[in-house]
Amino acid sequence: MPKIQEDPVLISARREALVVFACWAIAMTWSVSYCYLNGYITDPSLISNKQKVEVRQPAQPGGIPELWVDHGKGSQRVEFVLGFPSWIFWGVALPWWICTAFSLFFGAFIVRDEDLGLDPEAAAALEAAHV
Amino acid sequence: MSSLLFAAAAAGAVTSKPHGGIGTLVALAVFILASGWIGILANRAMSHGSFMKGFFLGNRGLGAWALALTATVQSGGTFMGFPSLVYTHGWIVALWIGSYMVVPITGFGILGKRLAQLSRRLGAITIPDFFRERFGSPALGLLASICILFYMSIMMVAQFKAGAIVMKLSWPGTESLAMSEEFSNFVLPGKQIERFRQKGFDPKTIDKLETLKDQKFQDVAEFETKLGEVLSIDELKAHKSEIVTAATPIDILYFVGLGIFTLTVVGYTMAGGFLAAVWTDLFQSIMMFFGVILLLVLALWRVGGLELASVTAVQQTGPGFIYGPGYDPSGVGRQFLPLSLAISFFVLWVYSGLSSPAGMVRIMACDSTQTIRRSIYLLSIYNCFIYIPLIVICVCGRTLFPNLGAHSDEIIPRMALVTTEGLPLSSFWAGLILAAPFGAIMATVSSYLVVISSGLVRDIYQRFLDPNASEARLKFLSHTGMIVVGLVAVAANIQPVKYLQALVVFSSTGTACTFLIPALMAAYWRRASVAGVLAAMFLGACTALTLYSIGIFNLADRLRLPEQLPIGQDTSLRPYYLFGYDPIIWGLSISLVAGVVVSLVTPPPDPKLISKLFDAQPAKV
Repeated sequence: MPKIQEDPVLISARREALVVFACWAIAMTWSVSYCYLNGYITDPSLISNKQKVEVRQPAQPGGIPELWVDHGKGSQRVEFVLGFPSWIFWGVALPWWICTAFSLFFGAFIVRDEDLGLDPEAAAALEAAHV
Repeated sequence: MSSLLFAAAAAGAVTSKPHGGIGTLVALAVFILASGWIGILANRAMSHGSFMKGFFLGNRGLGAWALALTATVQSGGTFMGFPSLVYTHGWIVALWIGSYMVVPITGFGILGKRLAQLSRRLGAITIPDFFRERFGSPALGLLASICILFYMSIMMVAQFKAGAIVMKLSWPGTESLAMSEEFSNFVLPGKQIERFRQKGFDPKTIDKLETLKDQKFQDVAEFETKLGEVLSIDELKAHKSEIVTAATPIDILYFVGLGIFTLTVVGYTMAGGFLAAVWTDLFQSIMMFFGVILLLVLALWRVGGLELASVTAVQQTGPGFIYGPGYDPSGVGRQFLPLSLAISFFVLWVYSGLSSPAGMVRIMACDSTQTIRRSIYLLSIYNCFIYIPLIVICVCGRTLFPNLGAHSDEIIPRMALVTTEGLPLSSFWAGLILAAPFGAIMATVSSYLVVISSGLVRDIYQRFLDPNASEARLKFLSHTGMIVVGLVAVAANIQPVKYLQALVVFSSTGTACTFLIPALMAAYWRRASVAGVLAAMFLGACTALTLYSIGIFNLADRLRLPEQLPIGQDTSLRPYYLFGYDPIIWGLSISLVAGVVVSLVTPPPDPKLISKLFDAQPAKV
């Protein structure tokens, strides 16, 4: 009796699903932990406290004013990268662009093209056409 | 201090009321006509083959563009609810929505290929069809139908309000927004007080109400506050609801918008069914892309750059606008996105997109695996240009409209109207941008109309009531079903639904808890049994509904559960966050455990059926 083989679409779909699942897990671990460690106020009473915000003159004339915020660790300057708060840039924006690049790679090199087959109605129509 | 002034001046907060011009309405009218025309084209295209497969599945002919830009993407929430959250809570919402970075590969890469293959082998046209045939169980198909009808109906009703608001805001003339705001003032007129007198209200209460006669209040909160100052607690308990209803304004433009929106979307979906929903969705997705990019450029130009916009927004609010867990406008220390919810939402958006019935049915309709692969490319790039730009636009919006308060879900339409001021053909450009949210909403509603209608006609009527129904009968019922669903949604929106984004989150959570684990079991696990999948579906749904019920009806104390933390969105339609986590975490966990355990303790499925679905099939000669 010949050995029954698994459906090739099932094999490739399962492999691809595992890769995707790993990608999601890595993205979540990086984004959530980076943002939590670098962009969270630990004392909830400071969240809406305007007194903790200070805007200072820019270092260079005509520049953008500096934003200083006390979020529980003393007044610190808020850093920006490309206009994003730096923790958003490193924790969300950059990973987003990396995930986009990975998605393109995944589609191009990891996903395998397969024959999905025909549904019963289409198969019957095809058979009738042959007859 | 001078810097403060500099920042505020540079950002140029808008104090006047923005309004649409005739061009805005013309642009939307063109958009509506184009959608109708696409519906007619779809009607012609689906005419070959059987009505059911053509009307509800587009003859399995979806290409990459149609699949990518329609299966997992935007709804009214994207352009109304989500921007409102960014406006209200600040940059933390980028993390809240951050999981969309992997949605293109999770949406197509985890289930796509197997779902498309199995639905063909099983001849399934709808999601309940798929479960019923995969496990040979009508009960499973019926449970899936009921759950889909429930969640999709809630999600769809919420979208109608968003559509009506966009139409309302684009009305031409200087009175437009003035109408929407001033006509929506809360006023207690003398004739209503007289009515209360005739109904036998206490004369002392009447005297107190006379002090409020003909005064204008901006919103219900302001009116209720004043009412609380004037009336005693007992009087409030007895009459508050009736008095507030009497003072609630009739917003004529809202109803006009609701009518036009409903006629348009029900009309073109009836004409072309699934293909009309998909093609118009594609057209609208492309419009959204250009609308968002145009608005991004205009918004950044208007406020003088993103960093300056952030600085100004933080000045107006507080540290929470630029740091987690997010700004709390109420000032009571509510945490919008604590760590537990950040984890929850990274699960929620990914797995709710993956298991949405409207999305899954489109994957079933795709024509090949090449289409799935190309869809991943397209959607990855598309999402990159939608979500991060929307966050940027709304941060800019906070500086232009510092005090939207209860109207924060109008931020995108208002930005469209204000940022185009001064441009040549400004109102037309505003209309093109407004077409983006309008398109997103129409697209969502049309796809849900198809799913709900197919649930009623295919999964309930044809399966259980009249299996031999003629094609003409099914066609008539499908069209009638869409009209009835549209009318129900209009009726539900006569008193506009609140909490658009909260409803979107609720429906997304519910569908994920109900369908994700069963779909994974159906696709990848040979040993999955009917009882196991029924248990996974039923207990997943029950878990989500139970936690939402506990939250909505404040039952935590009575059930002696740990105290509810002040976290998440500030809305009364919110769940009980058990140990701080969203119901999706508990729903998926219970669904998984139930599915696996019950499958293992019940008899295995029919080996012949399993072999047909999991083993390589001999090639037909």
